[in-house]
Formats: sequence, C-alpha cells, structure tokens
Amino acid sequence: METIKSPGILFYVLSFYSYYLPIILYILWTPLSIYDLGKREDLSKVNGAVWTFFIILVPWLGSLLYFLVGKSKFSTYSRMLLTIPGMILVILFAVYSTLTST
Amino acid sequence: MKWDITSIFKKFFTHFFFILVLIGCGGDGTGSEEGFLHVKMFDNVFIPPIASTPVGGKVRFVNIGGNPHNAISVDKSWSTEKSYGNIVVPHGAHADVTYPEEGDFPYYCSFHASSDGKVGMVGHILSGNVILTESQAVKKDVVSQWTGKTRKVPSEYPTIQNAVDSAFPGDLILVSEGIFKEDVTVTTPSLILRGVDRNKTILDGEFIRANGIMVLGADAVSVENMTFRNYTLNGVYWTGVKGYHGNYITAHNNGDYGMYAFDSVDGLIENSYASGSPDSGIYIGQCYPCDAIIYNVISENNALGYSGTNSGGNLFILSSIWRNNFLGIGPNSLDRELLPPERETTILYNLVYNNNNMNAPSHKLEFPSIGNGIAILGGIRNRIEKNIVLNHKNYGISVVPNLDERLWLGNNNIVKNNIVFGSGRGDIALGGPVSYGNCFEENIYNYSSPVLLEELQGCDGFRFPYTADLSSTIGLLSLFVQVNMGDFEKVSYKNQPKPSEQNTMPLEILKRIEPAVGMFEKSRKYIDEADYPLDAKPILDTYLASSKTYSSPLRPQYPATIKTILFHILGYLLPIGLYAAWAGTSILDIFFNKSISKTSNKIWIFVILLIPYLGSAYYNLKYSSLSKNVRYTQIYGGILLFLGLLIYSILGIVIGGLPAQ
Repeated sequence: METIKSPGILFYVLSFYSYYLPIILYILWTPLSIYDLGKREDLSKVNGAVWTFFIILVPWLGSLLYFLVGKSKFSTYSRMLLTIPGMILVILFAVYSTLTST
Repeated sequence: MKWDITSIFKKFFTHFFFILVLIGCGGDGTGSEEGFLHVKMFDNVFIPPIASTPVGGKVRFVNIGGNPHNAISVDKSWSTEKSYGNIVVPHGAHADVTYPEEGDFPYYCSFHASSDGKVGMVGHILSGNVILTESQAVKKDVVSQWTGKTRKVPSEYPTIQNAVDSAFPGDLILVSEGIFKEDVTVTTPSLILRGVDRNKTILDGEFIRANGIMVLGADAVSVENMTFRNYTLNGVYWTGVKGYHGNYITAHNNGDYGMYAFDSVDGLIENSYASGSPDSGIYIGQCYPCDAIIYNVISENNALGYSGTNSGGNLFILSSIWRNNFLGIGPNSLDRELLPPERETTILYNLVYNNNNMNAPSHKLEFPSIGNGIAILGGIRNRIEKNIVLNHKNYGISVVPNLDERLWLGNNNIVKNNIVFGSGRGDIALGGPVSYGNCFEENIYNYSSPVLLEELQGCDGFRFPYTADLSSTIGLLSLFVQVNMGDFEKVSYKNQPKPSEQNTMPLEILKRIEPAVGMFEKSRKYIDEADYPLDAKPILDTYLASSKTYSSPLRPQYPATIKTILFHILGYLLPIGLYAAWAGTSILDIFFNKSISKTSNKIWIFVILLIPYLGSAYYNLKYSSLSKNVRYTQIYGGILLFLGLLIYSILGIVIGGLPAQ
C-alpha cells in the first residue's frame, strides 16, 4: 500500500497561524492607530477625520501608513515593532507556501 | 445508552477537535491509515455478510437494527458477548473484535440464526488472504461472453432466485413484466440479470426484505433494465467483486442505498436513477484503485446523491444530475471502513443543483451536509472540474474536514473551471482548521469563503497559506451536534415521492448481452467524451435569468436555528473578538503603563504578537493596570463562554453517541 505523504505538524501549525496573522494584525493595528489619533492635539479636525476614515476604509494599509508616515505619537521603536515583524512574517509565509505547494 | 465514565472520557478526548489535529494529525493520511472494518447488524442480516480484514485487524459490529443482536463465532472462539460484556448488543451500541490469526471465521447471531452458522443471520470474516470454503460461495470461473443461454422468469423459472441458482456463468436471466417480491442473492459470476421493461419489471421489498439483488463475491455480474423499490437496505448491492455493471436501473425508496458497490472494483453504473434513500442514491466505497465510472445517472431526494467512503483511484463521476438531496456529491473519509482516506475521484461535467431538501430521508450522520452541492469531506487528490453547481443554501463546492474517530483533512484537491452560483454562504469554499495543497482556479462564481480564495490558493504560482477558516467547519459541527441531540426530525424513506417513468433500454443496447468483464477499460471513452447532461444548459440559463445570482457571507448556516447562530458567534467570531480585546488592551496598557521598564515593554509586545491568546492573557492577568473586574471578565469570562460551547458540543456528541451509519 502506498504511503501518503504529509507535510507534518509544523506545516499545519504554521498555516493555521498564518491564516489568522492578517486578522490579528488588522484587529491590532486598527484600534491602536485610531486610539493614537484620538489622543493627538496637533492635528486639525479635518486631518483627524480624514485619517480615521482612511484607517477604517482601507484595512491594513490605512493603519500601516498611519504608523509609518502619519506622525503617530507612539515611539518610533514601538511603531516599527507593531508593523515590521508582522509584515515580514506575512511575506515569509507567502513565500514558504508558494515554494512548498504541490 | 450505557453510562460508563471511562468511555465518556475516551469519547471526550477522541473528539477533542484540535488535539486531534495537532497531535493525532490523522487527517491527511500520514503513515498507516488503515481504518477498520464495519459490520452492520440490521434486522436480521449482517452487512457485509462476507468481509475481509487484514490479519490483526479490528472489526466493529454495530447494531443499527431495531432488534437486539450479537455475533458469535461458530467455533465459539470469540463473540461480541466477550468484548461487549453482554449477550445483547442493543440498538446503537457496538462491539469490537480483533482477528490475530489468518482464517475464515463463520459467525451467527444467536437470536436470529442456527448455531451451526448455516441458516438465518450469519456471516463470515475472512482474516488475511483466505477464500471462502463454504460451498455456496465457491467461485466459479468468470466468462467474458454470453453463453447464448437465456433463462426466462417466470415462464421457465417461477422466481428470479430460482433462475439464478440454476444458471451457469455467462447466462442471461430475462425477467418479464411483473412485480417480484423477492430478495435475490447472486453467487454465480458473469450472470446478466435483465428486465424486459425497466418500468414494469419491478422487484419489491415491501419494506420487509433486505436487498433487491445482492451480488456476493460473484464477479462480472450485470444488472439491467429493472426497478428496485421498498427494500429495507439496498436496491442493488455488489460486495467483494471484480467487475460490475448497472445499466438502466431505477432504485427508489430503499432503506439504505439505491445502488451500492462496496469493496468492489472495475465497475460501471450508467443510465440509472436513484431516489428516496436515507443514505446515498449511488455509492461506491472502500476500494483503491476502484477503476469505476458513474455516467449519465440521476440521483434525487436522497440524503446524499452520491457518497463514496474511502474510495478512489480511477473513479469517475461523469455527466450526471444530482438534485434535491441534502448533499449532491460527497466523497468522504471515515475510520469505519478500510482503505482511508478517500482519494483521486474525478467529478466532471455534472449538473448539481437545489440540494437543500429538508424532506429527504436520512439516518443521522447525513443531515449536517444539507444545503451543499459538492463537498469533499476529508478526501485527498480529487479533481472537481467543469461542473455546473447552482442554488445551494450553504456552499456550492467545498473542501472541508470530516470528523469520525479521527479528524480527516481534505488536502490536495483541485477545483477548476466550474460554474457555481447562488450558494448561500459561498460558491467555492475551503474549511479549516488546516489543510494543504487545495487549489481553486478559473471557476465562474460570485463569492468564495473565505474571500479571495482563488487569488490566494490558486493552482499555479502565488499561494498564501489561506486554509484555516473555521466558519464552514463550525457550521458543520453545529449541525452535527444538533442532529446528535435529536433536534431535527428524521424523515422516513418509505414515503418519499415515487419517480416518474424512466427511459427503458433502447434496442441497440438490448442487443448487447455481455457479462461485466473489463468494464473500466470498455467504458474509458466516457471519460474523453464526457459533456454536460442535456438539462444543464437550460437550467443554467433559467437560473441566470432569475434574480437569485448572489451569495452573501452574512447568511447564517442553513438551517439557521438559534443554536446554529450561537455556534457561529461563540465558536467562530468569539475567538477573534477575544484575541482583539486581549491583545489590544495589553498593548495599550504597555504603552501607557509607566511601571514597566522600557526593555520589558518591547519584549512584552513581541510576546503578545507572537504567542496568540497566551501572551496577552498572561500579561492581562499579571501586569495590566486595568481594573481587576474588567480584566477577569474579559479573560475568564471569554474562556468560559468558549469552553461552554466546547463542552456542549462534546456532550452532544457523547449523548447522541457516534452515529451508527
């Protein structure tokens, strides 16, 4: 009888995690960026509203851009920590999955 | 139901969803996926009556009849009494027996057979490579040509059984018009059993006889041009054969399957019709490679249009119509038959529509599949191409795991070039918790579940591991639990609608009188010539012209009971909501909590991001500056809600017992 190949437990754990990673990032980034916006006093009302709409309407990219170029009051280190590793992980998962697809 | 604490614990753990996946990892068929043999005890017959198992294999006797039964070896070396602890195995219970030695083990039910195993409810387990020694089952030689001899019923022989018993391999048994109240057992190979008129040659079980025609280990038997109705089990049943052919058969209102090929290879079922079965209209199971083709059939008003457990390998389902069942086409993997997982079935040019029939008959396990067109239930390497799949309340074409003793995952399936519209929750769908290698390409559809399925799980090039969406899986689980709790009323097969007259065998085919030898090779041309059934284009056009061409991800699983919706909220949405709440509050607290050092700040953000749930829960409970009341409610309250659902599910499965079918 033939043996049916399996990619192993690690693959399953990784793919389960990687499916939820974008959701995790989305639900982290959105409230954090809006929370930060709400605390700011340097922004005009219009600018604040525009950013809020942008974050709400464009998932991921909205808050990502806010953290990277929106002059968030979080420390640079915290902003990088929130965004860069997540993005790198998403890209790594995509590459891994594409390369290992059968 | 016996309440025994060990068995409850055993069930609790065997059904613990994620532990199963991550530790057992049985789903995709790693290593030795042997399954075990399932012998069903009906009233009063064992199915299959002759069954093979590898040496050391386990055989599970399950009573799904209404009477008490048991299984006792004729030489008294084993019995279900010894393994079950009681002479009576009641309805719904099962007893396992293992066979460490090679040999033929005849057995009987002490309530319904003679103790020499000769008369009544008797069976054989063949352990290892043995053949039957019983004279009735000695295999005569298969012949590939008609002998020229025709035996007519009732003019020459009063009953079909009488003609079959007198026949030699290669004879034609021609049954005239009439209603024949028989259950026929065929043990002579190469017979051709044919009715003179498909609609008027009727075998009737009157809801008391088991099988219309049971072909027991006799190769190359062809059954043609007759109707089978009202049997308590199957219309036509081939078991343990090489070579079978069903042509112009009508099977309706039978208590298990319409046409049933089990542990059989090299077959063809064509131009046939099956309706009103509480399992599937047409079934090909436990074979690899099956070398079989289903071509130009109609299957409706069954629980499942097609079901194939642990079958595959050169198995083709072509140019057929599957409608008004719970589920149109459902290849599936289960532990309760040998040769798991289900694999390599090709589903091509079928018309699959309106499989939402709440009034279809069912046993138990079938109901959760309602509202689906084509579902690969824990199968691997199947191809689903060029089908038209319309109007299903849940999913058009889906690949989902199947839960039995183990959780079977659907991997490496290809869904390509299908036209799928009007599915309530997703035209094409992939269900979590995990799977790999499934791909979706060039289908014409409106909405996928999860979204962007084709873009992220295409067959070539870029692939994101986008495989863990639990919404369809939770939906299935919710129905499974509700069925086990007895929330849905089962409908009987006995009063399903009778089919209209079906086309009888045309003259040019009547002239062809051949035993079923080399059926797969002979009918390979069907694979190349396959095309949509004639009805497909008009039905698609009508459908497209109507306004129902949309799906919505917001629709609840059908049937949308309060429990179904609660399952979705607590099982699917709650975990995501909890993660958001726990992680969000933790990270905000880290940013504003002055009492934590800068360095440990950064470490904590990493921990919370990379260790879902545990990281943020630990931070919340240990370091957060939020009020105790809020923290404890969101952590312990959230866990309790989720655990509540989990315990309810497991209790539901334990109380109901594993479905016998």
